[in-house]
Amino acid sequence: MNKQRVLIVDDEPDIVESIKFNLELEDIECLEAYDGEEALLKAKTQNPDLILLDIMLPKMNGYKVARLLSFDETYKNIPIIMLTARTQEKDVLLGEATGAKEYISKPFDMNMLVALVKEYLSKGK
Amino acid sequence: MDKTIKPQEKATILIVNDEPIILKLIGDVLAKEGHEIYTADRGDNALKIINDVSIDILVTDIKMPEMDGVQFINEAKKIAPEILVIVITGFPEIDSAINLLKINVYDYIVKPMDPDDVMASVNRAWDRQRQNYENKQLIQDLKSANDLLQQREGRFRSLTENTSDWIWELDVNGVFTYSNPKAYDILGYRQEVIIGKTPFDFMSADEAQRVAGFFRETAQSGKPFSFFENTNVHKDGRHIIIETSGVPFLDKDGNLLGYRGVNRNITDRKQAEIERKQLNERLRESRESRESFQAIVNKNPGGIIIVNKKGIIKFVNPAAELLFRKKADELIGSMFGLPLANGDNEKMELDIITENGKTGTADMRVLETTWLGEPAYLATLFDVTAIKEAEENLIKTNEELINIAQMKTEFISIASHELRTPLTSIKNAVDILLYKKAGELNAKQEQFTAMAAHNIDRLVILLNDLLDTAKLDAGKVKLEFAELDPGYIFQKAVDTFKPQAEAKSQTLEIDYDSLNNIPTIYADYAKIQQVMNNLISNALKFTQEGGKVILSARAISDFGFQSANLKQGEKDSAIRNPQSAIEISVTDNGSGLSMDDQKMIFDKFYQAGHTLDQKSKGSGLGLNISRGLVKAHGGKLLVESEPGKGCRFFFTLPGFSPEDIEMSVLEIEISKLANHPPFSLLCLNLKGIGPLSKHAKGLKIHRQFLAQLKDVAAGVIRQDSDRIIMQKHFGRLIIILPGTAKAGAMIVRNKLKTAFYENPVFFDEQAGQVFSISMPVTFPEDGQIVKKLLKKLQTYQE
Repeated sequence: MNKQRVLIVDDEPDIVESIKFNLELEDIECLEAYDGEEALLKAKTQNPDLILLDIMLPKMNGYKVARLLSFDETYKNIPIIMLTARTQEKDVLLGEATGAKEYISKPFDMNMLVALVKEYLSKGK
Repeated sequence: MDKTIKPQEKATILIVNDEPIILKLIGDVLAKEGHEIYTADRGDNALKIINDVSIDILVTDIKMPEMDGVQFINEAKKIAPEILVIVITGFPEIDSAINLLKINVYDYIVKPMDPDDVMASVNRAWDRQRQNYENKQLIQDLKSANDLLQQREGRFRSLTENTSDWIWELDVNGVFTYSNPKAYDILGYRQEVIIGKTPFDFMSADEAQRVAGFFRETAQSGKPFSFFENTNVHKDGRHIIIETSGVPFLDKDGNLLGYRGVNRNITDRKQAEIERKQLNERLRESRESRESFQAIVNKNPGGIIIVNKKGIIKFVNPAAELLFRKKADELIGSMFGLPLANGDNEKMELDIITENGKTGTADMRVLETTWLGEPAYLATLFDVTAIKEAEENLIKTNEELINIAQMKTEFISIASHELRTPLTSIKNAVDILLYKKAGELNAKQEQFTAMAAHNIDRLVILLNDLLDTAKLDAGKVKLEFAELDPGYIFQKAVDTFKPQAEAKSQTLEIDYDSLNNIPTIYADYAKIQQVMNNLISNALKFTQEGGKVILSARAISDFGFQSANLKQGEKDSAIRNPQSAIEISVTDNGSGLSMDDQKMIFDKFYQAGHTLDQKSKGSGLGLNISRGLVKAHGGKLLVESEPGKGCRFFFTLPGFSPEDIEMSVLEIEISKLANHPPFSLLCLNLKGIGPLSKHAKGLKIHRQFLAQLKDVAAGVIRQDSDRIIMQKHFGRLIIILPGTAKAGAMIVRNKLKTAFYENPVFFDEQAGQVFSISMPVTFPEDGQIVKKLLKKLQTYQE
């Protein structure tokens, strides 16, 4: 049985690390990306089951990544949970418009995030 | 012949006798008496003498040589009728003595005569004659005097009778004893009527009293008076103003007998005076008015120019001189040189040179007017150079302010983002520790890790609150209105806070009864939930163990609707039609708030003095944010409290719905037309599709569909004034046709049907007509009340 795989995208290494730590405790494999380009590449090549996507990324922001993925038949079904420090309403709307399933603002409750990840992963099966 | 009659001492006597001895004898005797003597021996001589000399007495013999004595005496008397005759006669002539009596002889003496007798007789005659003369003189004097008197009286009478003034005489009691005829001309009463009455009888009661008083006083003083004005009443009722002057007259002892004087009718004069005063007044007013207007024109800071139709300047005021930097005499008569005929009162801008030689701008407005009877243009100019500069500065400043505000928002946005990122990492790290995912912790480690975690949470709350406050301050809170059930919100809140309440044995309950009759409200669910959470959290914190917090709601009618965070049109209509509203209350039985606390509790960072729980101290921004959120909805958040008696925090939310707004907009449009009948309404009802709210999923498609319908309809309706109102929430289009009666509206309807047949519009790929066009409803034919008309429209479906 293949382990579930989650791509964590954030330009803050600490945040990536702490999420990774928690997910691995749940027996979830984690991939990392620290900018938009890397995120897109890994999403297309590494076959993640879910993407945790920050918005404020260098090189290409999270919206664009999500939108580009949504245009691609192969990848548009990967569930995306957006994480961001930006809390403007327009950001929320934009986020929803790009096809993300959830929109979580930082700082978040890790337990809640883990539960959400598990939920979407089980849906995907 | 009237000889001069002179009273003399001695008489002039003529003796006539034909006997010289007798002549001499008598002559001597009489001469001794001192009389002047003339003699004549014949009748004719005697007559001659009588003719020449003034003879007083004639002593004559009756016998005359050449004529009859009687005849002679007659002749003498003819010449001098006053002469007294003494006749000497003999006895035998006694018979003729009788004749002599007939000729009125004074005396006769019988021969032989005694000279003493002659003397005595002459003396008697002379006495007699002298008396005669005196009498005559007296009579003549009397006659002269009488003549004079008559003359004078005649003069007097013609003066008094014919003068234009009314001459009168009053006695001491003020009764008329004389009045000339002029009284009739002045007062209409004849002299006879006047005399016996008093002047006061011809006055009104008040005037009579006044004038009588004056007369009394004057009479007492006995002085003359002049030009006393008094008002009398003419026989025909007119008021006549009279100017009276009078002088007293006294008896020989100096007692006042009365007054005499003159009345002059000055009514006309008085009238003329009044009219003259009025005329002067009017002239003065007119002059003042003209001066005022001149002052206005001359002092007007704005330039005023009159230009005739040919473009020649006819008048400039001082301000205009300044604006053109030319004197009036240079400007008047010259061409204005700028276009003026651009319509009434249009504003134009002129370039001018200002005082310091720089270019500036003046506003010019032009009106048509007349100048000295001819059509002309009136241009008012105002130097707006400074104003324009100020405007430009203002715009610049405004832009700067907007920039600053934008920068501030961006800054807050960026700052909050920057702060959140490390905060997230800290929180994640602490949580890993706290939840023992990185290994076990001893008691102390756990304690302090928990402390860290708790404070991170506080920090997060503070950060969120700060951001909320900044957004509210900047007015950048956008609300998502949706139908809201207070009961639902209450329930969610109770679920959230139940554990917290139970931890302090507090009761958190919902007053379900209060939720029975409240209208639907429309609000941003998330924001209202935030407010509720804030209020409930506070209530639980500030209430003791075992305390109670109750959530309730009630409908209210007048909630003082503030401006809501809506689009402009919607806001106006909502204000015009405040529907119902509700008031939500969170009531606790805690320690309550002091008046000071109540005043400041909504201020930023203010914390009420006695937080029961040091640990659960918040940011101090919660109520400030809650108030701002409620305000954004158009409501108010307030507190009611007494120390020791708990608190009730309550806020209002308006009960309008998008449907209400749409209806209000429609009603307003239609109401405007009520003054210009007729007009008609058509309704395109989307049957089977219904209102927007049921199509959350296909929001976009729904809107697109309605928009397409509107396009087709717009192509059909004729005039600019026809309106199509989209009511998304009702799922329909309302077409308003002003100035159109039923027949016209039917034509439009048919055209629409044809248009939709030729240009089918599909909803979500559903074929076929998914809408219907109602029959037209016309005002005033089908109803005069807007609401009724709209109702009819609903029933006029196909």
